Amino acid sequence: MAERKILRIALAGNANVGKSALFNQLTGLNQVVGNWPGKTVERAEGTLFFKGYTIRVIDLPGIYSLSTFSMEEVVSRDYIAVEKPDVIVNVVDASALERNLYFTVQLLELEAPIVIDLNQVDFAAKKGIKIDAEKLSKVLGVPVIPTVAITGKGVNELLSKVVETAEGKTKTKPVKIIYGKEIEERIKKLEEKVLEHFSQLCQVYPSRWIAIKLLERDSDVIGKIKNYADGAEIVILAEKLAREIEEIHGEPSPVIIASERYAFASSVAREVSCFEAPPRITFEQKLDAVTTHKVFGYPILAAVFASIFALIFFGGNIFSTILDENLGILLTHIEFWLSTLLAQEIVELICRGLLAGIVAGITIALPYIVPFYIILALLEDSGYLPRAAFLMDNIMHKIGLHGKAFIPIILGYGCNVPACIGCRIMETERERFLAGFVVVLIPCAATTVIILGLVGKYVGIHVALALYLFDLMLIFALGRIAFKALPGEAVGLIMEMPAYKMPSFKNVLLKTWSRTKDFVYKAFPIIIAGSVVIEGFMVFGILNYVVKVMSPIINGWLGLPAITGIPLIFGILRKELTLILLAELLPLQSLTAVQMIVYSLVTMIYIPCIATIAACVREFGWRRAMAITVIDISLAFLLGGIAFHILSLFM
Amino acid sequence: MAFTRGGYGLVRRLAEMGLTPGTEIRILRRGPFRGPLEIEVRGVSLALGYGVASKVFVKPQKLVKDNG
Repeated sequence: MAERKILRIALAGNANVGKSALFNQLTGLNQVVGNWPGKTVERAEGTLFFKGYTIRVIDLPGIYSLSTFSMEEVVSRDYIAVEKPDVIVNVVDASALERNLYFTVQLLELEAPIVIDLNQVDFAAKKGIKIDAEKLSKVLGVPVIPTVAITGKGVNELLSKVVETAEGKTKTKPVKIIYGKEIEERIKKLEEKVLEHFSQLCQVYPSRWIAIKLLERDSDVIGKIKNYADGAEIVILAEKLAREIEEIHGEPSPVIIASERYAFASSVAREVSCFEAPPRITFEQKLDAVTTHKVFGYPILAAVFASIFALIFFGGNIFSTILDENLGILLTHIEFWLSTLLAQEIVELICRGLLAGIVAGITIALPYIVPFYIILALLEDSGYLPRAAFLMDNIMHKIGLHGKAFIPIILGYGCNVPACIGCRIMETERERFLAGFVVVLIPCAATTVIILGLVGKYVGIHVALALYLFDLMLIFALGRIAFKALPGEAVGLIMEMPAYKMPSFKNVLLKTWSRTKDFVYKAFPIIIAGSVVIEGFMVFGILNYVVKVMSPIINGWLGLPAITGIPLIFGILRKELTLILLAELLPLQSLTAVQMIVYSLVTMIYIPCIATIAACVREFGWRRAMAITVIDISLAFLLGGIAFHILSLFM
Repeated sequence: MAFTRGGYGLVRRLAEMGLTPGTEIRILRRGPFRGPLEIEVRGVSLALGYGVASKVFVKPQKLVKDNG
């Protein structure tokens, strides 16, 4: 086969413009999701083949602008400036052109080779907006291709244009954004100094861009400049110039510069769009009005989440039972067959350790986690989550957070790990930690498996729900205490509300697939290893010793059979193990109702699993992660003991 | 919208989101109690918490029928 040429393209754009839909459309299953080196920002890469090219696509994190408010922004612009991809596809939402062009302006200032993907033209048309793509291309001096990424319409044309641009066949003459005279003068002055002193840095970043960013007091650029010999001097000059601008306008200089960029974006948007029809009131808008309604919004919110849990529980239960029966039979066959070949200890290690671990993972975890991932993807893609955040803003303020924190909390019901990572959407470090503290107390899907599989199944579903309710109250109370205890001021909510959209089947499946794959890769080795180790302990009789040491707490204080200490220890690896191993150690029916409740309560609170602890360390640092862990353990044993003593009186 | 007042970071962030002095905005709806405000700015819906919204100063242009 002839050698293929390689092209590197990057997707950049605001959040909620259909960027990930385009990415999925381009790369399908050929994608790898990870983190940017040394950063807690997700990085998605994929490959596709087109017209003899191997095209490497990198999906830059969705951002609002290229000014340093978050790591996402720094990651994206550094990638563009340093790695210099062949083409940058700027995904622009046609239904909110002005807002999106603000970002485009910043890409143009970075002097990057861009092709604009004018996306969601169908949706814009619905709002009565028609955009003249050719005119837009002429005004901006870069190619513009209209698409509907979610259905794949226009994606081929986009790719052809990208290849043409990379080959230099398309003439581009990107427009230069001119600021007001008083700003331009100062940009020039600064740019000269920058060129003179940091010629090296100017090979990476355009000198004009550096000058503008300095006037905007961009902390990342200032940091970079300060590394140079004359850096401090230039920063002082920039500060002086910024002050002068502020004196003329009476507003902070970044606000003035943003205003001018918006003025440009606004005039371009007006020039190229025409409002064909007055926007009709669409079904989506009616839905929006009802779901964020100050009265009706809440019952809907409650109903949505109640039905989700019901669906996951009943659906999961059916799959779980079917899988369990069939795999169980298979396992006994294998054990019988192996025992004719190998020694008894080894057979037990293989069957009750290794294979039982795999079976447990498949039958206990997956049936609940896969439906959760599907529903989560539906929630994300439909645009309901920001509505939920809107409704919950008020309540979240009571624990010192704002509505956005509701999103990681919901994620936490699936898995605490993405929830911890999801806390990044909070703006300040204090908010992030507060949200993290709350999120690890959320019963994840695995904990739900335990609560429903033990208490729900043997004691009654109403008791399981009561446990949930108790947990919610606990979270609220603890969140409030933490909020009062941590110094600092609460930050308010600023959040974009994307319009409702019909989720695409393909997108939802792709998301579910990549998340499930991630779960299997990360969780299964631990489940299997834990299962083998515990079986080993059992075979070699170490178990009894461990049980003895833990017995005063487990048996004396919590009123549980001493042996349950073992699964509780292994629950640190993965929470599902507390149920899986418990079932291996003793018949579940032998526990009393009180014991089941206490056991579930303890597992619900006692410690974030090892993966969550790792995520906490990464997100919040060692000290805070340990603080969370210690608080949770003490709390679980305290509450578990109290619950045992009180419940024993009634039940 | 007339102007915003508040911390440097907040004012800057609002400007980045399109809330620059003199921009036209429209209130879409209000959350319950002292809940957030949903506004339309530059063709985008933005939710602002009560505290944030109280830092945005506006000059009413004309009376528009408001259902919130």
